[in-house]
Amino acid sequence: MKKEILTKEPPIDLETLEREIASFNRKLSSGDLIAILQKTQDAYGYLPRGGLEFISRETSIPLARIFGVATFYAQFSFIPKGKYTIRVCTGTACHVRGAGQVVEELERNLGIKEGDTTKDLKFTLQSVACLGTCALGPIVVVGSSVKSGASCCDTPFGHKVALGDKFYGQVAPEKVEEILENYREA
Amino acid sequence: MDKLTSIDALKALRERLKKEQKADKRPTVVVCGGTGCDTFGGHALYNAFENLVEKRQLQEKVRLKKTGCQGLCERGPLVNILPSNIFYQKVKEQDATSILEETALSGGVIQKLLYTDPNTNQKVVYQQDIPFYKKQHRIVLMHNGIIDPLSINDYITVDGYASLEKALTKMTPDQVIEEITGSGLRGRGGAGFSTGTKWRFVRNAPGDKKYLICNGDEGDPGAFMDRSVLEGNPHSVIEGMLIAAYAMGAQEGFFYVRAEYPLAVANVGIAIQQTRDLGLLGKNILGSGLDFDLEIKKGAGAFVCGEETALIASIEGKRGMPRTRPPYPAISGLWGKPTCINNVETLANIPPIIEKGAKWYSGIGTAGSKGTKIFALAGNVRNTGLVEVPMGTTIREIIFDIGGGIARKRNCKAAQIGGPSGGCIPVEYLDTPIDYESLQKVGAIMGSGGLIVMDDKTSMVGMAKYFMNFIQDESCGKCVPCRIGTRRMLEILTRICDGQGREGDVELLSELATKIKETSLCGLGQTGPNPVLSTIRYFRHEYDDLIKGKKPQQTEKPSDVSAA
Repeated sequence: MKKEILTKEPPIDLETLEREIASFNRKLSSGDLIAILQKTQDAYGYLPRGGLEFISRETSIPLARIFGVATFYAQFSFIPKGKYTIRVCTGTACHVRGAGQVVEELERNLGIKEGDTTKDLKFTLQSVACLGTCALGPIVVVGSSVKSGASCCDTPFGHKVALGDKFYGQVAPEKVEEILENYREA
Repeated sequence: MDKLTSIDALKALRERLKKEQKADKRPTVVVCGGTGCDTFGGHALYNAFENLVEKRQLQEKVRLKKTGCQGLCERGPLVNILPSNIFYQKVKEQDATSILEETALSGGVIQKLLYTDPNTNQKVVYQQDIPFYKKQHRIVLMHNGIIDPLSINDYITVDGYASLEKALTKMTPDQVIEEITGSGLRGRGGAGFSTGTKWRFVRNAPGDKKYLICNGDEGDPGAFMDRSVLEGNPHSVIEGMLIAAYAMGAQEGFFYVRAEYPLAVANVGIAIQQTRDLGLLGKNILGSGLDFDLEIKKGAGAFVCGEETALIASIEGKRGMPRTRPPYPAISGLWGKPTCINNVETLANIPPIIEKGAKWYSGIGTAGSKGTKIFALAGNVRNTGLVEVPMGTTIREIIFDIGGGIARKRNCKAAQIGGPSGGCIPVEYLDTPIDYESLQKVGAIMGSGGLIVMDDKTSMVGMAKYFMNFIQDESCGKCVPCRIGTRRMLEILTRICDGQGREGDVELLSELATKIKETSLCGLGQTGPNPVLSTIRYFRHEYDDLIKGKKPQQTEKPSDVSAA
């Protein structure tokens, strides 16, 4: 998997990351690395280089190793994402029900390719292998790229966790515009 | 809630809860809260019920409950009225009032919300009469759809943690392992290794620190049973882990759950906290001397992490790459200590086996494959969802009897079993019984239980290309055959699909596939070429037609398969 890395990046506020690291309430070890990276990505919507350098200093894990781990997993991104990330499931079940056409329609509608972000930084389009809602394919999931407290929402069970993702099931290409409408205004 | 410090205290709690439940005569409106039903508005529907009950002050007359996945996702949101078991499907928010008034409080049936059997056009009133449920044998999923996954009391009321009780008081660790071995339970993650034997290895491994890992990295596209069990009945997995820990002498356990399953992560986290608060996790559990605690580790999106050594590397905070075995994790696993890794469904099978015995369990299924298996039925089939059937059930029974046949009046062409590691079984072989060996014979594998039905508009070369694209994308790159070989296979498949295929391409594909299978480091490469091999075996003419420039049989392009 190829990953793009920013050469120049906007300044970031490290306090958020400091708080996230403090929330572990213990000395961090190398086994916590993926969890820290997940929290960083949730907080900023991507992994800013400055943040990774900060993690390296705090945990004494070499920056090279942090990059090695971060580039390995599909969840992590090194470039800022749009306000909303649109994930289209292209798992087998969704695939046989026409997820490919849904991706094409989203690409056409947003004027970007899968993996890219719109110029107005509103939407990032991603395809993912499987979201485990195979019975209702094709599935499209839309959610905030930054999962801070503000974007918390109720899960189906009513507990507050940073989910904020909305699942759309049995999406036909002609439904795409309808889904996007919900996010264009906000 | 006070910590329970003895087995008797847990028994007393269960008795009290059961009595309370017996005394409660209110009808219950059960709303399915699985991810599937929620996609169709299950959450909003539940809120509508809640608001109504509050507004009309009906708390004394009716009980509301939200459960995990009930299985028939295609027809969601689902509502079930207990104790009558009247079953409503495709329920909308505005139906809440009539369900409360006409059914819950008056016992009437609302015709328009009933399920219609597509084959007979008959309306079905009760859940147990719907063919989808009738033919299932639910052991692991028995309480999904009955209990509230966020209530440990609900689980205890249905005899939850009674198997742990039994293991701790009436069985030695060795007896527990014997029972599991005797039951014939085999790993439900796909490989089908004897669970009891694995536990024995870890128990016998030298070292006083041992780990137990629940593999919830359900990466197989098309499989979602583990998600549903973790979301809908997390305590059954925790109980299975506690029994496993007692049997093997493990002190620490991990739940490795995909980050793509936020609800599963949330529900498991809450269940762990409740179990700990009640004293069923921690030091000296129920005064038995057993010490065991659990932690969640979220995956970060890598299919290969379902492989046990890659999963261990991921928990250690490294790139999730597999390593050569031996040493097996049972000898040297997480942080170099003996480690047992069991799949979610395997662990959820443990409490019923301990409760009812090895003899009962081994009485279900076939000679070599015991018990039940959950399948995620998806694709071009009428009733998609989760089904649990005894081993030995045929694929045809699952697709046609339970699944209601093929959608949109098309014909069945093939069934894909076992995800990217499995194979496509053509319609002539649909009478193959589902067990580990029979599936292997026809070129598929049990895998984790994804069963995707393809209709006659599906291009099989297109499917082979689809899976190869997935495999080469998810290949970790550590070993050459998998890294480079899958890439070359994808290139060949792509050119065939684009009408640029050459004479001899099929032979080249077969040769590459065989070599990759023989020489790859881990299961991903060893099984990744299976979809290509099985489609060549059964649908060779589709490859030949494309290579010879003949128009494909199907109306759609091989690349985009059929539209919904």
